[in-house]
Formats: sequence, structure tokens, C-alpha cells
Amino acid sequence: MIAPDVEELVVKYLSQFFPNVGIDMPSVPPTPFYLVTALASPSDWITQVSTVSVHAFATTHTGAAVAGRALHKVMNPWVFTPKLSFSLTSGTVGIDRFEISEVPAWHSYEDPNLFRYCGRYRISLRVNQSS
Amino acid sequence: MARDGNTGSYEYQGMTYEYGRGFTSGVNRYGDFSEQFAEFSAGRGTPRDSRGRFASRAVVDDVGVFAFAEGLEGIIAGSAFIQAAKEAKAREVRDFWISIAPVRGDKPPGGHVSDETAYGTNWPEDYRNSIEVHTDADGFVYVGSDLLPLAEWLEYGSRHNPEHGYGARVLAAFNGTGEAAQPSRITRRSASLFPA
Repeated sequence: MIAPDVEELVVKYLSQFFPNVGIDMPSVPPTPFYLVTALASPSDWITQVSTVSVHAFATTHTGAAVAGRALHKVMNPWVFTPKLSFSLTSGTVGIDRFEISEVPAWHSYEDPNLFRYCGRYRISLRVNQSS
Repeated sequence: MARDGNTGSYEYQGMTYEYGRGFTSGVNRYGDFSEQFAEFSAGRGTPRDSRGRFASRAVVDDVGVFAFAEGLEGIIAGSAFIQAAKEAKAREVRDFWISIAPVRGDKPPGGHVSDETAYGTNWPEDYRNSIEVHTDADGFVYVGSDLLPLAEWLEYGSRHNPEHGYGARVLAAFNGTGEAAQPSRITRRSASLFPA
């Protein structure tokens, strides 16, 4: 079984557009910073249906809104077609289905110096896909 | 007797429809709707706008059901029925959400266990007990927690907490998406969900 890593995929994709993308964020991050987190998700050994959060951080609310808007522009269902594939450490994967669960919106981060917009996406990957 | 002269009653999917009174008893696979039908018959279950139009018609339109029985009364009864079904589904969603919701761990926050804080009353079950079914005046039903900011920090993570995404997991478990519902409603509260 070759299980693709959805965090790796999203980080790799977003890195094409944004300089600071990762699954680890330093306590004082370079901004705007895009933090990618996969939530607990099921897999049936054919399709892995992953919910992924992408947090856009900036030092001002406006900056976070702009970063969130830029995120929304590139994370959309028209971009992720089955024709598009990504080379990950697990091999080449394509996206079966892409849904926007939540468009980027402001959510409290409990930090007066960081403002955060969070968007959520459901990305279905074929588990045994490799070539 | 109904306005069109019909009298008597008939059964519809296990429920009793009386001409001129509407549904007077109802038990089907979604639950017991007798209470809702009594409300409907008493004229309290169907709010109207200033022009006398039934506000809950929008609920019927949302689910694409028009002729539940016959004529206008059919539509009204149908909307009450659908409203009750939505709320029953919402309770199911709420129960699942509660089942995966955490209670506070073994470390009291800051040692001020008895004080009321931004987290609520500071009882271990605060978050779990805050997950409720909400029904708006226009019939919109959703499930979520209003315990801000704790609910938001648990849902999306914060400087001090990882992102748990309980609401997102509930949404995924019930196969919900942002597309099926109204996206603006989904994010209206920190961790709310449009179930039906």
C-alpha cells in the first residue's frame, strides 16, 4: 500500500506560490506564514479522504485577510483536476476530489501579535496510486 | 370540514390527516411528531409574515418538497414535518459531537478550578455541555458550541492548543460539505454545522 501524505502535498503545492509554508510554525514566524494541518481522517485503503486546515498568519488583521484571500485563490476545485499530479516521497499522486469545507475566515489565535485566517479543505487521494 | 367541503380523515405514511385540521397524529420512522402537529393545528407552528405568507415555506423549498398532502394545508404540514425531521437529525449530530468532545484533562488550568473564566464556568464538562441544537426563527437548524473563545480554540487551535477540529470531524462523519449548505452559515459560528 502506498499512502500519500496530504500535508506533504498541500505544502508542496502552496510552496509554488508562497515562501513560508510548513507544518511547523516557529513561535515568531516570518509572515505571512501558511500552516498546514491534517485533521483526523478516514481511509478505506482505496481512497484517503483527508480534511486539511490551512492557517494564514500575519501580524495584522488586514494582512491575514489578504493572505487568506491569496490562499483562497489557489486552493479551489478548478485547480485540482485529475490531470494534475504531484511527485511526493510516496510516488506520484493525483487528486480524486477536492472540496472546500470552509473558506478562509478569521479565528482567534490567543495571541495579540498574530492574526489568523483558516480555510478547510477535503481532499480525496487514491491510496495505491503510484506511477 | 375543510374549505373545499371534504370531511373525514385518511392515513398518510402512518400519520392521520383530518380534513380541516391537518395532521392530528404522527408517528413515523423519524419519530413522534404529534406535538408538532398539535402546535400546527393550534396555529402556533406556522409563523407568517406581515402579508400572511407562511415563513416556513422557505424550509419546504430548501428540501424540494411541495405537495406533501394536498393544497396549501399540505405544504404547511409538510414544512412542520420537515422542520421536525431536521431537528431530529440535528439531535443525532449533537449526540455524536458530544461523544467525541473532550472534558478537561487531569491538570487544572492555572490552579483556579473554582473561578469562572473565559472558558466558561470552569467545569470540566463546559465544552461538552455547550454543544447544542440551535433553531433560528426562520427555521434554520444548526449544531454548535457558543462557548467562545474556548470552542474556537479547540476547533481551530491556538497559540497554546493544537487544532482538534471536532466540528470538522463531525461534519466529515455525517458526510457534510460546505457545498451542500450555505457556506456563510457554516462559518457563522466558531464551530457550527448545518446538518439538514
